[in-house]
Amino acid sequence: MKKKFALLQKSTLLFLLTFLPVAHAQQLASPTGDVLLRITGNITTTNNGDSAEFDLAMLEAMTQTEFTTSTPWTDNPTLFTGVEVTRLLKAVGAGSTQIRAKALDKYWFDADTKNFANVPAIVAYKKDGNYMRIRDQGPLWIMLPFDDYPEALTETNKNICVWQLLEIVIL
Amino acid sequence: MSGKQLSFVLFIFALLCATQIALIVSQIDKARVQLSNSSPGGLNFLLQTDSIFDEFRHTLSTYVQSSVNADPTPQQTEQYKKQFEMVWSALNVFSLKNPGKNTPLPQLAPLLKDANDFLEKTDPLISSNTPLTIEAAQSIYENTRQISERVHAVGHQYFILSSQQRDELNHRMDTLYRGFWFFGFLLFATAAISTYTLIRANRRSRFLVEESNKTHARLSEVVTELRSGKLERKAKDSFLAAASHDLRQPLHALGLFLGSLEKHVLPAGRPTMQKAQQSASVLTNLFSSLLDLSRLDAGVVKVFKKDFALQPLLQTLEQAFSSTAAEHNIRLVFDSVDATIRTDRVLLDRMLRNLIENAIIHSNGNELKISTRTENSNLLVDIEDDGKGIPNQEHHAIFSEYYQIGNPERDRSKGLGLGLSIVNRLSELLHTSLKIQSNVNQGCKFTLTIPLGRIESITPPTPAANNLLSQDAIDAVIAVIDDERDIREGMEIMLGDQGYATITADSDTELIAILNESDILPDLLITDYRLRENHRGDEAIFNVRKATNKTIPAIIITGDTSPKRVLEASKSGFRLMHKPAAPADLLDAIKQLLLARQRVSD
Repeated sequence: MKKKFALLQKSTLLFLLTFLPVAHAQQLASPTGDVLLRITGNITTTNNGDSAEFDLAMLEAMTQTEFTTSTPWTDNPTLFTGVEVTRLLKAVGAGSTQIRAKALDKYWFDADTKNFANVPAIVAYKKDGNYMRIRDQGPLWIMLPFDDYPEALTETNKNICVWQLLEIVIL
Repeated sequence: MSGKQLSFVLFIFALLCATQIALIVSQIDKARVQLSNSSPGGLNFLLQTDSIFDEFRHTLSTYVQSSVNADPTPQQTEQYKKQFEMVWSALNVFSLKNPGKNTPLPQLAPLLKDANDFLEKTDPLISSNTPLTIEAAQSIYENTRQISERVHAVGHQYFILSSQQRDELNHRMDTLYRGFWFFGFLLFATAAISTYTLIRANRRSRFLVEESNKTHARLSEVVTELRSGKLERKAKDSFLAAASHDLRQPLHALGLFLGSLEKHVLPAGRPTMQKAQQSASVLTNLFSSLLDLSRLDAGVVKVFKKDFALQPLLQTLEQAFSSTAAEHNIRLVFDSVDATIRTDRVLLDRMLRNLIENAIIHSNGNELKISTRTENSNLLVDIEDDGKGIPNQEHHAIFSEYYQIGNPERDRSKGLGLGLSIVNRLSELLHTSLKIQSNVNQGCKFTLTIPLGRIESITPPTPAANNLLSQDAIDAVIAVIDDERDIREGMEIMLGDQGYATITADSDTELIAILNESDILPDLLITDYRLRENHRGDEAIFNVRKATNKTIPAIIITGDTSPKRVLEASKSGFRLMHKPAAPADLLDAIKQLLLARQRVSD
């Protein structure tokens, strides 16, 4: 009888463990400051109608990833700090790997995140430790560690590095 | 094409291939760099920049228009501030990732400088908390327009430049394409020629290997011949053949004369006569062994294997050698099992005779023991003496011709040294193994291995054959053809003594003439093999038979010992005898033929 109870306890724990991340992911905080990024389209977790909105505090609250790389758009190797794109997509429960990144200057580009599945692509909010102004291609900039992954320096990967990022649409 | 020329062409082709590869690689590298430079990003970037400038100017112009009537709203100031930020951002990136980075455009440097000045000058105005005055906004609008136009012009230059680059790239690609075709052809040609050369070389080497194998085989043959003394033997054979014919004639005649003289010698001369006859017979024996060797070498000796009992053969040998053994003070011991063996009886007899004779004459021992034993399916015959023995190093040599141990003065009464060499050839011919076991002063033991036969296969000898030889002389006319007068006379005397009527002639034509004249038909024809004017005995017989229209039995007597001649003579199919023929042998042969003829006519 005691044994059965232990088993029940175990299975409950297992059940909780299995559904905890999902339950957590479904709870997305609401932005308190200026909205820097909107994720729309094929997503399951939202905090404002059909879209998930992020302010700087929310982004900074997530696990941060940083790397130093040279880019076609900087003079010297630069340190970028931000959140991994895949982490963001998981947080909003994206139903597809196809994304469209839109920028402030109306530039947009489509890509499949599978193309850089092994490369920790980030949505950067800091460049060399400083927040970016619009004139510095900020406030958000999708960036790939090209120096660490030279083979990732393809034309499409370069083009998905959208600066002045406003919105990601899951297609 | 010769191999050298081919190699040269191959070398040239390989060189061309290498050059071609270097060329292609360098072209590919250039194309790669060009491709990375002419990315579509550049054009899109220009497009974006243009649009950002447009937006900024549009915002400014709206601001100016609305400011004429009312104070600007905070949204409007925020709007142009944001737009200015974006212009800044665009120019920032433009200075970094300018389209003329790799092919500098002359207008670019002053443009970037002016753009920077414009940004620096305008920034305080835009960033200030007080909204822009209409004049300031108009001035900024004008400056922006100028910068924008220049950016546009640079963009156009870039467009032209990238078109040129694209053409260059296309051209390079064309070159590469053609280069690849040429390279492919070269590669194919090189491979084809290499393959051809390889096949040729292979064929050639195979041919060479075959040739070398052949040469090797021939060489080893010659070496074996040299080692075995075959070459020497050949030379000896031809020498003997040449010399012995001349020696045989007188010897043959001597035999005939002595034979016929015997009856006419006075008693006082008898011992001398006997000595003379002995000498003649020794001489005849020596020649016979020489001739035997020649015959063995010529391969005219045919092996007739049959099953027979060994015992009678050994008994005959015992009888034959008892007196000789006594003369040499050697005790003969025969200790044999009764066995049936399968081999050529005549040749085995010859081998045993030679071995026994050799032991009696040369061993200097006291006892000679001939014993037999069976081992597996073979009968081993040991011929063992207790004499001086043969040193180990001489074991091989004793089978050579004319080789005699301890006879440096070459006492010919001890033979020519051919006995064992004949034994050796005979053992090869019969495929029987002949082993020798001997050491100095420890006697000598020869062992012959003969396969055992089956007793039921023995055919009893026909009594008729035995009777044949015991018949007396028969009345007959014998015709003799010989180009030597001595021989003719000797034959005439000898045959006359035996009661035969004799006709002699020095050639077949003479004989035919005599026969025609006297109208006599001979019962037998005896002819020399080598006649005058290169006639041969068999031809003579043929001619006589044709002339008389009768198949007269014939005997050819030849003095030739050369294997070729012996072979030739034996091929003629007539009864063949060798000079010097002992009178008794000749008479035996005559009797046999005459009897056979009688039996046919009976």
